[in-house]
Formats: sequence, C-alpha cells, structure tokens
Amino acid sequence: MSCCCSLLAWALLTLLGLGAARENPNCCGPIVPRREWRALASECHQSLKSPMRYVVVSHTVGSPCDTPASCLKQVHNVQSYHMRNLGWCDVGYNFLIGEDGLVYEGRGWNRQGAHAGSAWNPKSIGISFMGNYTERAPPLRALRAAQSLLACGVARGALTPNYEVKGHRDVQDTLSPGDRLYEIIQTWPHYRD
Amino acid sequence: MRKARLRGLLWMLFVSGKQRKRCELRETAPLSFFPKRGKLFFTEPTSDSPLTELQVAAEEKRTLKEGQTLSLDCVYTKKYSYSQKAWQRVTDGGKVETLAITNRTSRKSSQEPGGRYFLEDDSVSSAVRVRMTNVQVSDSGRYQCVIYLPHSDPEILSSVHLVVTKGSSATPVPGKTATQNRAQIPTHPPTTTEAQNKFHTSPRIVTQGPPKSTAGVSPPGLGVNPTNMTYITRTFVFSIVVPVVCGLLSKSLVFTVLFAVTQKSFEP
Repeated sequence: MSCCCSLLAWALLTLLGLGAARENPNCCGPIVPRREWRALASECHQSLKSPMRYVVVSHTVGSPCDTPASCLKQVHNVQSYHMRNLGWCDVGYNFLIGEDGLVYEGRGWNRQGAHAGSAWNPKSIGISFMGNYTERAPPLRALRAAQSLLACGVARGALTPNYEVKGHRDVQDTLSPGDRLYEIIQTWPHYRD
Repeated sequence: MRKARLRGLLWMLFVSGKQRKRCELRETAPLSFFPKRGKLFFTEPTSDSPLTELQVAAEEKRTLKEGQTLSLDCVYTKKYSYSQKAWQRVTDGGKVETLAITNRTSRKSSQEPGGRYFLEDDSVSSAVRVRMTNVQVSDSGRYQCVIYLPHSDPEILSSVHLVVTKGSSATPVPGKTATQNRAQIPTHPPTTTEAQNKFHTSPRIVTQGPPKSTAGVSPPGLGVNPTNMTYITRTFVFSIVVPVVCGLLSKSLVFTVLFAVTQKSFEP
C-alpha cells in the first residue's frame, strides 16, 4: 500500500518538475551582459511590446571572432561603428552571436532594434552572427547558442511560443545573413519564409 | 526501510525543484519535449492549430475614439513583394469582406473620393501601410491584412481587433461629423435586402457614400491612439499571476501527498 503511494508521489513530483521547468523565466544559457563587453551607454528609448512574433537573423559582415576576448572586442567595435559612424542610439541588434559560442547582449529583449527596416524593427528581435557567412557556415557552437537564446526568449515570454525565424534577406534587399548561414536557418523548426 | 523511502521522497522533491535550472539544455533539442509539456500543463496555443496560433500571436487590439484614424503596418516577406495585398473585415460569422486592395503597378489601393480605406505597399520596408480614417462605432470588429495568392487561399499576414468607443477624439470636428451622419442615413433604406446583416454592411455603405472630404479633415498622425492597457494587464496575468498560483497549488499538492505518505508509512 505505502509502496503504491510512494510510486504515485514519485510520478507526481516528476510531472510537477517538468511543468515548472517550462515556466521558469530564468532558464537561459549564459548571455554576456553589456557591462562585461564594456558597452557604451544606450541612448535608445523605443521599447518593444513583448511577446514578439518574429526573429530576424543577420550577419555583421565584419571580422569573425572565436575567443571570448576577441569577441568582446568585436562587439565593442560593432557598437562603436553603429553609434559613432552611423549615429544610432546603440548597437543595432538585440543580440550578437560570436563564434566563441557565446551570446552578447545588444539592445536586449525589451528595446527596439535597428536591423530590419522601419516596419520590421518594431515587430522583431534582431540577432546577428559576427562574421561573414557567404562562403562558410558558423561553427555549431554559435548555432547552438542562437537556438538556446530563442528557447530562452520563449521561456521568458519575450517571444511567442510559435515565433517565426526570418532571414534578413527575407525582409530587406540584402545578402545578409550570407548564403551558408541562410541555408542553415532555413532548416530550423521555427523558420518560415 | 521506511526511513529510506521517506528520504527518497524528500530527495525527489529536492530534485524536482532543481530541475528548473536545467531547462535550457532540453529546450535546445527542437520539437522533442517542448510541445508535449505545454499541452500537459497549460492550455497554450499549440503549433498544430492554425486558428489559435493566428489569434494569439498576430491579433492585436486597438482602441480608438470615433473620428480617429486607424493606422498600422502589416509586415510581409520578400517572396510576396509582387503580390497584391488586401485589407479585409471579418464578420462574426466568419464571412470576409474586402475593403481595399493594392494595385499591381501603383502598389497603392485606388482611393475613391470619400473612401476611408487606404493601403500603400512599401516594398523597401516589406510592409503594407494601412490607414482607415474617421472610424465609427459600427467599425468595431476584426480586420486582417492578406496576400492575394493566384492559385490558393489568401495568406493572412496579421489581424487586428478594433474597438471604437463613442465620444469625440482630441480634435472634434462637430460640423463634419454631422454631415457624415447625415450622409450615412439616406443610404441605409436601399440596403434593406441585406437587413439581416446590417451591422456588417454598414462600413461598406460608408465607403460608397457620397463624396465628403472627411478623409482630408482628420489629421493622419493625430488620431492614432492605441491603448496597450489591456495588453499589459494580460501579460501581467500570464507572466506573474499564473506562475505564482501554479507554484502555490503544486507545492500544496506535493506537501499533502508527502504528508499522507509519511502518515501511512509511520502507521504501526
């Protein structure tokens, strides 16, 4: 009898554990925060209305980086290009992905990016792979980092559970995110052209 | 023996709590655990039912006052750059009425005098800009942006639930509203054949009514006033109240079961 009871309790607890895991907003992979890559202070004020339905994937076409130290520098370069040369209020992307397999926080989940044009920016999260992916694909660790970032977005309620991934070239006249990376994101379960 | 079992249970409880921290690993595996768990515990939209998907993800609510202008962007992807786009009203019965459609060459909807619906296809931004001027209470309802496809059903880009409330907007134009109303009344009687459907036909009457330069009167940017309040409270409910309630319920359930089990195992 008590054996039966404890079995039941085990089953129940396992189920509850699974249920709780899905709802917890803190279950995200590591995201390198802005202060860690020594970001310039953001001057952006436009916020996003979560949850977002779209994710736009691009590439920076700048130099790639495959160590945390070089990626830190590279994110900093991208931000300084966007702010100092283009006069934007912050780095344009919501998140940047390095070939070191880390996600770097750009404008984050709540602020509108500048990555996909005036109509798409308010409706999407922009993630950009640092490098040029016309001739070669990003390493698997970078792709995994991007996928887990998106899963994290759903868990936090920043993305809708049925969010759609688009390539930058699907929404603007550009070659971004590069042929090789574009081929890869087209196989992702959430990709819709 | 009993003690061991009890210890096992407590350990399980500990593990079930710990498990929350490990979810990102499981979620990287696409389409495995994820949809199932959603179904088990929460009645969330599941990706296999297109209707709920559409309502939850794409339907946006806009609340405007009479006389204001509804303006919004419907985004699309490049493969639809050269397709015709339309703005439609969806009646409660599910019937669809096309209010405006873009022209293939000019990429705009033809604007008849006095018309209130205006579409402009901006292929650089990949979006259709929709404007609906001088909204009336009878305009409240569901609308959608669609892509006209040559050989299949139209593709719905996004839908909007419009609520128009009585009372003038920030810049009332009483004279104009009066002519608007007067213009609307005489056109009503001839449409008696559609009387059973008069709620849904009224916007069409307004478009086809006699020329009345109201379109130029209400300033385009001024009328837009989407209220996000209901949206915010909804996200509040979903992101805070639901998890808290679920957590409390699950915890109390666990402790009840544990209590029962311990009682049972310590019985002589």
